[in-house]
Amino acid sequence: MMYIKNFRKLNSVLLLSALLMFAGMGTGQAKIDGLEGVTTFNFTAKAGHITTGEGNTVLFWGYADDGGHQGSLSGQAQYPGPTIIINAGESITINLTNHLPQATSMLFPGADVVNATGNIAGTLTMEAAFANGTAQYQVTYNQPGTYTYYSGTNMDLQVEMGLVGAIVVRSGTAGQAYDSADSSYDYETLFLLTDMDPVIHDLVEFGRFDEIDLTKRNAVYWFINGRNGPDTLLDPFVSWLPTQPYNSLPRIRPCENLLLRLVGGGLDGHPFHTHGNNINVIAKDARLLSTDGATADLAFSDFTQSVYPGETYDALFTWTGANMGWDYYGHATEDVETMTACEQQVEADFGPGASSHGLPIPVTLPAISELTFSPFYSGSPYLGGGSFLPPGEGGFNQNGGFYYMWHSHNEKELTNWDIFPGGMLTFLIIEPPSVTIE
Amino acid sequence: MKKLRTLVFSVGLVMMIAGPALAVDVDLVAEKINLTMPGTGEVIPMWGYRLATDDPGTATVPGPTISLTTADTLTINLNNALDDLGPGLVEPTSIVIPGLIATEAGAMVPTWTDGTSGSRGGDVTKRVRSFTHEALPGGNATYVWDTLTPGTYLIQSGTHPAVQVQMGLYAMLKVDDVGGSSVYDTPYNNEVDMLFSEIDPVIHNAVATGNYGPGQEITSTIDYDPRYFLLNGVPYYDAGDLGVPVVPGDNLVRFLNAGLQTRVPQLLGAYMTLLGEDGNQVPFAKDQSSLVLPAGKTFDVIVTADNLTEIPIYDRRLAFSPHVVQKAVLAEKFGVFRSGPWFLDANGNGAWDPGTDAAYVNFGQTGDQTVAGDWNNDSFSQIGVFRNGPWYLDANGNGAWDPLVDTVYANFGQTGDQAVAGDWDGNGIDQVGVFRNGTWYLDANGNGAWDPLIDTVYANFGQVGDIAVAGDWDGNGIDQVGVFRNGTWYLDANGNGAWDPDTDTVYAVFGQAGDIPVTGDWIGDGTTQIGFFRNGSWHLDMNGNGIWNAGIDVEFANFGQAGDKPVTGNWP
Repeated sequence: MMYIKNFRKLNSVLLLSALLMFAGMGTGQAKIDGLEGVTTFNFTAKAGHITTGEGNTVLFWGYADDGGHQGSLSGQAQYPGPTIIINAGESITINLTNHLPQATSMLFPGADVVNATGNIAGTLTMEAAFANGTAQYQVTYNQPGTYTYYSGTNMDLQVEMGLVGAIVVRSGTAGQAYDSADSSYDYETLFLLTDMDPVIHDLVEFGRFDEIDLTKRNAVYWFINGRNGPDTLLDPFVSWLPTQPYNSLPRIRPCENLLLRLVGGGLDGHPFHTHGNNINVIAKDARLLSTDGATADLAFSDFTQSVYPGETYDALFTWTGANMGWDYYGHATEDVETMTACEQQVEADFGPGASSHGLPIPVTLPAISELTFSPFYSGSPYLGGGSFLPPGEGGFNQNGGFYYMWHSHNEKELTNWDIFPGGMLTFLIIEPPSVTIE
Repeated sequence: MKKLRTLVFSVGLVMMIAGPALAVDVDLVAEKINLTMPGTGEVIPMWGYRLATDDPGTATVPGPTISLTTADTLTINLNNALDDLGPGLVEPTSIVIPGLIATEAGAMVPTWTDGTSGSRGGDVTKRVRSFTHEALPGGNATYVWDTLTPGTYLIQSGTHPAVQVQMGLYAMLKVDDVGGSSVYDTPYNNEVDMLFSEIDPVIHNAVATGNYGPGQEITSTIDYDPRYFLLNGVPYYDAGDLGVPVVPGDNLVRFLNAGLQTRVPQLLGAYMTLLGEDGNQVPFAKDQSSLVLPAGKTFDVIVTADNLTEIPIYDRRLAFSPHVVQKAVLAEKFGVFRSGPWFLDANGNGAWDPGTDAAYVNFGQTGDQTVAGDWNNDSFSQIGVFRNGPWYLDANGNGAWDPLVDTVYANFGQTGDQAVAGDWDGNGIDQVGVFRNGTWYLDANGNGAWDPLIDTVYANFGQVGDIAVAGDWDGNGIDQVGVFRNGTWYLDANGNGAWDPDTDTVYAVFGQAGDIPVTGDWIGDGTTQIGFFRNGSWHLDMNGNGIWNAGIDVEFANFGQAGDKPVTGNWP
């Protein structure tokens, strides 16, 4: 039996009150919200307003899914556009109606087939004229991977305004991003990275198009899946962010594989940084990094992956707790009975004859009165642990998980128009093995 | 998909060697030039390279492309003509090729700010001015590369590069395998060069006028803020400028970035296979549709195009040169007359919005000709009709006929005349006029009556069957005449009322027989552009070049209907 130190004995009343206090706090998930099981979409490009992390309201142009499908906001422009999830080889049809004050269109880089019709023969594709113009795009992706779509008209303005989204194309094998065992994952998460200069948006809102000069653009907002930190941590589809449905709070248990789908959606590059472990980048632009097409033999490991506009990367992340030098489960020394495969792996990393069991965290924990608390601190340094915290502290960490900040390594981008913290910032949660993850 | 515009290359190809190994000598001159930016007309002082055999003043940006093979050796003899940049302004300069090792005596020995080279000695106030030995103003220097390795390289100034490279001193060197049409042992059957760079006019003007440097108006490139984004030396204004012609099979695309910002070339409808970077073959070919191209970088990629003749490649950072952001509203708006009722697009979105746009129940009658103009000098347009002699103008702009308030001209023109209106004298108030089978009668004094010897008559502009138009073609504040003849436009650009084949404007095809010509300042730039109305659909020449440019020009598919008479104006 597993012996858990007394950190584990949570006062249930305290826990309940903490849960109530942070009822709005997301419980985290490791799936990608989006339009799935649908191949015909009726989108309208139109204006809406987003709420930024520090409370500002900004006009944006977004795609609205008029189909009422789960995974999007029916009839409501959203930032970013609906995430489209399909299977390799599938064709989708997007009927686009334009409620913007200028022509618009959609591009699908990396798609194998794009048949476009519309009111206007644009430079890059067929466009929907403004004032209720329409266009239709029939798009086929034969190869699995992570893709992006965005406006192909007046692109510098329209992408800045928010007309961008992600497309996930699944392989034929469940739990594999590509037709390769090297792309196996337990959970997946999307990081669509965008940036925004609200001054441009204000000029659009006031109709002062003459004054818009995109060469003077200066982004001061940075987003993951359309939200600034700390709103990234909230549940998806919370009612008070009616145009920003998607969150970003991935969580896994030790030894599980998390697939990161990174998409550069804005106009600037962002160095996306993972704490907790390196990521293993297995694909770029929906192509496995491979010499033979079967194994990800060109995959590379890093902890900061620059993601530039238009690029997509797929990367795998796992966390075992190996080599931490202490027993993050908080086992007792005599606790040598059956270990999970994951625990065995951690044990193996200690070397022959050695064991992490019973090794305490190699620091003397200060007294509670000497600590400044993060809301993500459970009160215990051990996974699944918990302890008494001063009133009003903690509470975001219901299961005693480990929180690792995942963020842009350009620290300037951790702000919401000069207010810290915020911007391109979220957390990965390593949950105890007993926690259920949807 | 529309056929993309073909790139205009300003790059001169100096050498294409596919024969025996050669010791190639290239004589380059660095000199100042002025480049006029298309689209804005802004003149930018630049520094560029030209071949010594070319005429002075013909330097290009980028400089001449040099194409060699690994069997060759390269010698560049540089003449520095940056010796007359302005009063007291001269620049030493030099040439380096990052990625290739120069082999002449003194190669890559730094030159210090005091002009000395070699060891810095004990003087720590010296700073490096040049990576290598220099050609002094008016002087010469020779640079040699005995060993060329395959790939694509930037030839650039090695002196004060933060200034000189962004001023335009860069060019492309291609080194192919022996025999050519192959690089890194990968044969190709077409090649495309994509050299990106940028211009910050503020810095260029400061450098050109001696206002750049410590203690000067512009102290450094720290506030570098480019306004023009160049591909092969030509500003691209939107993604449409980046269409790349390809051929079936393997196309080698060489990407170079001589600017200071990162670009991200993105392919649409195709993938590229990475072959090499900075003149180094990559160990494994990888497929990708986007490419991060930082400053100073070169990439060689293969694009296999079997069913494509052109591939759009655009900068996904979407840095396009200054251009008019497509307006949400038209500066000059639509209206139609339906034999009594009028419908005016008051909000200028090109669509009928009930409750927002203006509907006039009754002004005029079946058979009337329509005009619109600013009759009362309030800077807005009002409507009016011409009824075979009499004119009725809505002087108070309320859209209804108000006897004794609105304007009646009892007799200007006759049955069969075409009615026009325009500001013939530039006073801000529009006057009426008629076109009669090639002859124009314009009410120049604006009194609504024909005054021989005072009012204007153009005896011969157009012919029977033409449709009369008027507009301020040249932006001088005075309207000129023109005619539409079955899709062809003849505009009196010089405003003398006569057809001057050398100076007046003809647009060969914009519209067709049966279309109704319309004119207006759609984009609000102070000149009049053309358009046509076809059964409720409006096609506007937004960029004013008299040609239908898909993606730039705009069709408004639904304002009015067949049988309506279109008018345009600045409705309140």
